[in-house]
Amino acid sequence: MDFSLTSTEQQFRDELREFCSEYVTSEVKELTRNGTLHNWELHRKMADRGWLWGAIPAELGGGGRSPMEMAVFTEELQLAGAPIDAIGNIVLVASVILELGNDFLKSEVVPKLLNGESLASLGYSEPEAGSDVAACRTKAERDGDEWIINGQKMWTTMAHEADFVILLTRTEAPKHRGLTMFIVPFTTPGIEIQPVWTIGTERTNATFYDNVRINDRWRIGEVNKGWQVMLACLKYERGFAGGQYPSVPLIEAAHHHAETHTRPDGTLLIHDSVLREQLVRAMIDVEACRVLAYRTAALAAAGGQFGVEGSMTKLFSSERYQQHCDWFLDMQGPEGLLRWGTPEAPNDGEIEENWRHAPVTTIYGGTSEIQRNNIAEHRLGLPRAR
Amino acid sequence: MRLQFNDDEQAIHDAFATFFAKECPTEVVREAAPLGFSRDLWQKLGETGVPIMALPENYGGGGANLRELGIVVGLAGSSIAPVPLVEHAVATRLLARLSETETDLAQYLISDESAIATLALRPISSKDSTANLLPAGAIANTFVALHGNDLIAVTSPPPLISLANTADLPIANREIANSEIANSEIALPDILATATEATFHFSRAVSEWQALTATAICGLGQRALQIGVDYALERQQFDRPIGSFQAVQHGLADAATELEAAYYLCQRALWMLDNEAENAPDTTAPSTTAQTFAAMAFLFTSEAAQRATAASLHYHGGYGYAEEYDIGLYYRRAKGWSLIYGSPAQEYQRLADTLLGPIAVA
Ligand SMILES: Cc1cc2nc3c(=O)[nH]c(=O)nc-3n(C[C@H](O)[C@H](O)[C@H](O)COP(=O)(O)OP(=O)(O)OC[C@H]3O[C@@H](n4cnc5c(N)ncnc54)[C@H](O)[C@@H]3O)c2cc1C
Repeated sequence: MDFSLTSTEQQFRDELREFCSEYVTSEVKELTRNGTLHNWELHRKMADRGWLWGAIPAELGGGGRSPMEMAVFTEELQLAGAPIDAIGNIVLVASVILELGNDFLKSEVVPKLLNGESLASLGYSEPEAGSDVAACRTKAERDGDEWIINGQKMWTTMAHEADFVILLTRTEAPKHRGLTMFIVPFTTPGIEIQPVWTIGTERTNATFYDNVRINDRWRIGEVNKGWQVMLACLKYERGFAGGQYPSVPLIEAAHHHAETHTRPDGTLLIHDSVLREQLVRAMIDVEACRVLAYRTAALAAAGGQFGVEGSMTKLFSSERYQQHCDWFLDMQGPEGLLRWGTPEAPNDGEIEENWRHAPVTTIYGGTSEIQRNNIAEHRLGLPRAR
Repeated sequence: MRLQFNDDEQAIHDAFATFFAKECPTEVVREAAPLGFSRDLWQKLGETGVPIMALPENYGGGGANLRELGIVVGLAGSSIAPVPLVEHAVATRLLARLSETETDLAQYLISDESAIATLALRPISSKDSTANLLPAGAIANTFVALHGNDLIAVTSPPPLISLANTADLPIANREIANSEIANSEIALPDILATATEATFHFSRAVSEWQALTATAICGLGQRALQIGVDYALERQQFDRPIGSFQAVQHGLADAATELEAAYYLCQRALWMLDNEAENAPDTTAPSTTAQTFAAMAFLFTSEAAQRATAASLHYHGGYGYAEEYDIGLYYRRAKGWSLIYGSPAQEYQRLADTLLGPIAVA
């Protein structure tokens, strides 16, 4: 066993730390409060440094940063509180196109994504198909060289900022076998995007497809082999989905609050032994997330399968994050209820904002139940429960 | 980063997986109770060189690092082996650090090759003359303790009877002779170090104990989980294996997840302690020192293993509560191996002082 980083990995970490301390300012973070967890200026600065190309595996013609470098990349951005959702989508869509897409998609879509010009959305979920994503109903019908798409997607996050959506459609009846995947430009006539506001700060969307016509060259993968593309998508999440360190900025905020606020008896909150234990527990949980994330990356680097480890990391970090959010919002007492923008809100409502965000982390990217099913079946060898 | 075994590590693993499977079935564990020690197993382990494998070579040891020792310790934990491997390794490493030569070290372990050394985990006030609830105290020939300002070594005959306890631990209270009391029959302690040198060596040894014990507890938890999974696949209710019920699956999946994290926390703690000993820099930029990390890994792993053994016992239904089933052995030891260190609540407060800064007195 050896946990040391190579000098390249270490240098990359230093570079990222420098970048984040300069550009991931509180103003940048505040700008994401419009509901879109994305900041174009920051995004283009990262693209300019070649980090988006870098995130693409070398065998696909990308910059080929190693899984461990990618682990360091997502770690440092999260520790700094930078939004990473958009980068995750880009890396995923570009990688899948490079692996399974045609030359047209490779030249038309990939450079725009990796140069920092365009974003992509993930169009898997539907009103009636969430965890059971293969129950997808959005229909694609062949018409000569073209396809006509009709249906609705739900939770198409970032659609209002993105140029493309990777769209899972049904082309035939049988469940997993009748699916086909497309890349669809949002400018195509017949698409409507409606905002879906959430109890968190983020905005997502419902997207509607009404006789949307696209040429066959926008298809990715074979007809009725969309499920294979879907599996490739999961492979290229590369540690972005859900994140592993949501608790770090939260703990910092809680610690800061506790050092600057007093209890009714006039002593500092940080002297409270229950709170001290909670802070230590949360810090230990972060170390647990870190070793799980490193383990997943090390497995990927060794060419191994890491689906179960990814599930464990996502399950553990999101479940514990919810616990941490509860602890630290409670710590603030009734003042904790105040939202950002209210002058009295402690620390500009940062903990309250985390607390509202917390529920979604065990839902999107595969719910906790789906992760546990995966672990039970593929790690413990228990019978498939679904 | 290499988070799997290399060939040497794999070889150690394979050899000792075989050793414990053969030499330490649960009958051995049951026969060793209530003393909590199998001399036979200890002797066999002694023949393999494991008790001294992590002593420096110039002290007659095997020169292994803590990670290598940890492989064996984890396997001993899986088999809940009734041998004081961690205590002995930690105490002899400490004695070696404070002995100039191999002969100096040998004086503490004179009686025979299977002599046992151990460590009192909590500082003892200079006013007190016993080391209470000493781990391996019922069987150890020599124990090291931080007594007042002094790090001392006491060599005296072990009582070979333990204080009856939930986990069949070989614990006992041991006397520290006092020069002011005339005609004490016990030899006076040797003073190994004093003042800051004493606390420095003591806290390093306690951290090694925490990281290695956590590793043993992790092995224990993983085996307990496997026992639960095997049972869930075999036991039928409502015409199907109980392991096909999602409620059961999810409880086991949570246990597996926590133990996975615990395992790598333990590995990292051992790696950091090895690095600290070699003065190698930690390039992963940790937020803590090796010793703090060892305490973090210990707390996390203790809880993960206790939850895993409790879940595994629970999914045995009534049989889990029956003395005859092995899961109860694991359940009791997961608690005992953890709690012998001290109350976790106190340990969290100690860590808080390190990680958050002490409570400033106004
Ligand atoms: C803010 C937000 C952003 C999102 N962004 C995107 C996006 O960009 N692109 C996209 O495609 N999707 C996105 N999603 C969708 C997300 O992936 C789904 O919400 C998620 O997969 C769950 O599906 P569902 O909401 O239909 O819930 P359901 O599948 O209906 O689940 C409801 C409950 O039933 C449980 N359940 C379901 N199946 C099982 C089972 N087999 N065993 C045990 N329990 C089960 C679930 O765990 C859950 O608790 C987003 C969701 C949100 C809230």
